[in-house]
Amino acid sequence: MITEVITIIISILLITIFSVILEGIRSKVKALLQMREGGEITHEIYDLFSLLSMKGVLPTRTSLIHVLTPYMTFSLSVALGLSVPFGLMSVMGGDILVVILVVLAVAFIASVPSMVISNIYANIGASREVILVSTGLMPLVVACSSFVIKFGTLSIVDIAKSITLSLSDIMAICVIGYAVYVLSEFTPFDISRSETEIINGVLSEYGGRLLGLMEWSLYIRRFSLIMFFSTFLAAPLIGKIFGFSSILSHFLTLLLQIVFVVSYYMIASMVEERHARARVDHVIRLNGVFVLVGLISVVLSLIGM
Amino acid sequence: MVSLETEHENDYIKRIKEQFKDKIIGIRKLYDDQWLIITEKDYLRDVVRYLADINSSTEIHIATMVGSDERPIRGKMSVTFWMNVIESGSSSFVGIRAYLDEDDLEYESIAQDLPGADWYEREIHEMLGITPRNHPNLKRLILPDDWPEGAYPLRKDFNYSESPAKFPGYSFTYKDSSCAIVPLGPYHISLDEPAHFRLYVKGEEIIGCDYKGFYSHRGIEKLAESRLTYEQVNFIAERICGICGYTHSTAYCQAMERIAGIEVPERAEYIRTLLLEIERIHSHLLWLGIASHLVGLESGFMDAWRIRERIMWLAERLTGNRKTYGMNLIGGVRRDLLDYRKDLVMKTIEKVKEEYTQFVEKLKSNRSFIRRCEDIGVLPYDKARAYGVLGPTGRGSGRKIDTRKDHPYASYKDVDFNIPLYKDGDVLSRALVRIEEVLESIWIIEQLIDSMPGGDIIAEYTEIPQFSEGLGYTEAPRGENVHYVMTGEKNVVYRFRVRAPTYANLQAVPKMLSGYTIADAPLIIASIDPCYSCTERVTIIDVKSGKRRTLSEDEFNMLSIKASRRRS
Repeated sequence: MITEVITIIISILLITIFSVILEGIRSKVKALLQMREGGEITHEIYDLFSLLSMKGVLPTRTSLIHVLTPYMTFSLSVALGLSVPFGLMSVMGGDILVVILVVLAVAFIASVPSMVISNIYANIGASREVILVSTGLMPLVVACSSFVIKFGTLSIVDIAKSITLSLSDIMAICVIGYAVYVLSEFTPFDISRSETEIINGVLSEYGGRLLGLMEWSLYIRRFSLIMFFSTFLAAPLIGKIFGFSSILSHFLTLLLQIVFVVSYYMIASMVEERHARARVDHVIRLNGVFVLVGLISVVLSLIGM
Repeated sequence: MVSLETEHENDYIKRIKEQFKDKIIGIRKLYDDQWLIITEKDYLRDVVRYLADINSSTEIHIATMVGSDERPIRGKMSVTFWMNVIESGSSSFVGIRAYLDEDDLEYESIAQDLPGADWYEREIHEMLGITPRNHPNLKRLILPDDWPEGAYPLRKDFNYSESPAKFPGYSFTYKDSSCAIVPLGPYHISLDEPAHFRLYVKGEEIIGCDYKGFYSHRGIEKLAESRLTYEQVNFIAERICGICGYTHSTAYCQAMERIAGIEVPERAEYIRTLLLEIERIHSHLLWLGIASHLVGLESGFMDAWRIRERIMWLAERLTGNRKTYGMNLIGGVRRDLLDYRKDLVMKTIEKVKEEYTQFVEKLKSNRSFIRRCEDIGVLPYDKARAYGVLGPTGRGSGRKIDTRKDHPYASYKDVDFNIPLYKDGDVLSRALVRIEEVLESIWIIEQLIDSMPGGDIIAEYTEIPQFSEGLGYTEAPRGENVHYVMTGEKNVVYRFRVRAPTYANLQAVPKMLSGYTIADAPLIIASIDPCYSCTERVTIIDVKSGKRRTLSEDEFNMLSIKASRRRS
């Protein structure tokens, strides 16, 4: 019971606060790579706090959906965070299908106001968001299918406990790592919020508190997806050494997950530094390639490799 | 009025004479490389078209077009198409002029044959009331949408401070109700100055584009013709652009020096060349940074601008300003390059070269950046020639043109350098031209420092002849820059006409955009390195209040100090 309560408290803190600090780490790494000093890693918290303390700015012809969407997106993003495992347990079940559906729901709900408003940049942003998420989820779904077929379970923790160094598992993990990068909308996949092309796209009609909530939702979504991915790396490693039954292995898994998440953000910063933004057609093509790789891993898992 | 000059005529002048015989009223050689042909207005189109098509293998384009209200001195208005005829060793500017009576200010439009004449003709229609008959697109270009018809600001009887009544209205040419409209500008994050590209899209594909610009029209030409002396114009000329201001003041000074027959000291020519190349380097680095930023490659942006900062620092040490302002005077330059500065220049240039080479290697090996630039915004050679596209934009489409080689000015005849040339006509080609030009500029600077001659830095002159005319030209970072000057009375310019390279390049942008995507649009527009301020240079009127006020020097200085304090 105590373990569960502590895990819930830690997971809520990680989802809400640490996800924002990670953005600061990402900015800091980018600054260092660009030979700049950059801001403090807590700077993103300050920025977010500033936005949240402002009055929300709404478009001239606004509807209720415009006001509600940031709150709904935020709630769903937190739900996504609670759906992924922290250590060897998950607050909300830890089912792969739930994660996939919530990712899809967040993207669609965040896009709806941008679809209905009379702003061509928001419209394009919404269209790109839907394309990005729907094509980016395909490799994730295929790679997860490989695990589900092989291990006969939908539970993320159970899958993570069963992962071995087989070819199909390694390929599936690589595909999931890629899909998580795409869905996190790091450069070159930041097409739906591209500032220089479509003036922030889906965010272009938001300002103040509502913009802050939308930004925060994105940070949480990123963190949750990377945490989800890190489960597949951390759990097998800890399990091999300490087994899966002790409290120690639970917290060590959580610790190792956090290490992997921080590392993922740092690697993502480096990848972002080396890449220009892709076009929609580039994204679709690349996602298609990774769907193929995922399908190969499915075939390999079917033949037991 | 003018004689039919027969000596030293080049081949083209002879052929025009033979072809049009008595339709040519006069031919005059203004300077070594500048000819003026005067024809009847009914034959203006034929002569221009004949010259433009005279030889398909020769690079010929409209260098500038000058409409001038010469009623006070000749009782007529004039229209002159200045054609740049580029041939190895014998390039020349050929002006083809027709005089128009006040009661019949019409001539047959050249834009029917040469799309590059489109803007020029629309401009004189608005500014002087000269009508190009059968022009394909005679809608408003420069003046505000609410400017009334019949008020022509560049006529001599129009006072620079007049503010005519307002009438609303502007219509766009391209109309297709099945397309969505993406209004890129007037204020858009990817545009560094106001401009409006109205994109007509289906999905993300651009089907058509309308351009509306001239939002930063400042009235510099009218100001020069109304209030400033010859020397003062030089300082307003360099304010035409915030990036390549020095190239403008150089072009203006050269036009005046040509008219007055001033021999500029060799050392001054070398210093001018040095500063022109410093300007080219920082302009191209600025562009490379912006191009990287537009496609989300922030490391490219940071690297380019960090290297650029060394050049800006060098400019400040040499001229006293981060920008190379305030260095030119008619007859030479204001500051000498002291010997101990040579080491400074060489060390800085050496460092820039090293860092720049690493940066370029990194950029060229970045597949994602190359993929964003490759095969987009393609402008094939024939279109580039028809529009008279200039500079890196023209050279990226295979046009072998560079004013530094074609009409050597300043000290360019004394230095060795290559002209990078690419034929694909896409954004990548334009980028590669600029990338290589930076290295060529570094090489030029090294040669200039090595062989800098001694002597004076400014020539004395006593009198500038009245009502004489001439062109000054430079190769700005964005392409050929042409200043036409006709001197007037009392130390004041009678007609000042500036044609910055963006004026020619921008006209081709709608063609470059068609068929590509919204994601490509900012990069395609940026690929010509547009400088709207350069293009939009002409009439000061406070249309909002109708009031006018002139700041005293003290007031101006106080405002500057206040602004500086706020920034610090």
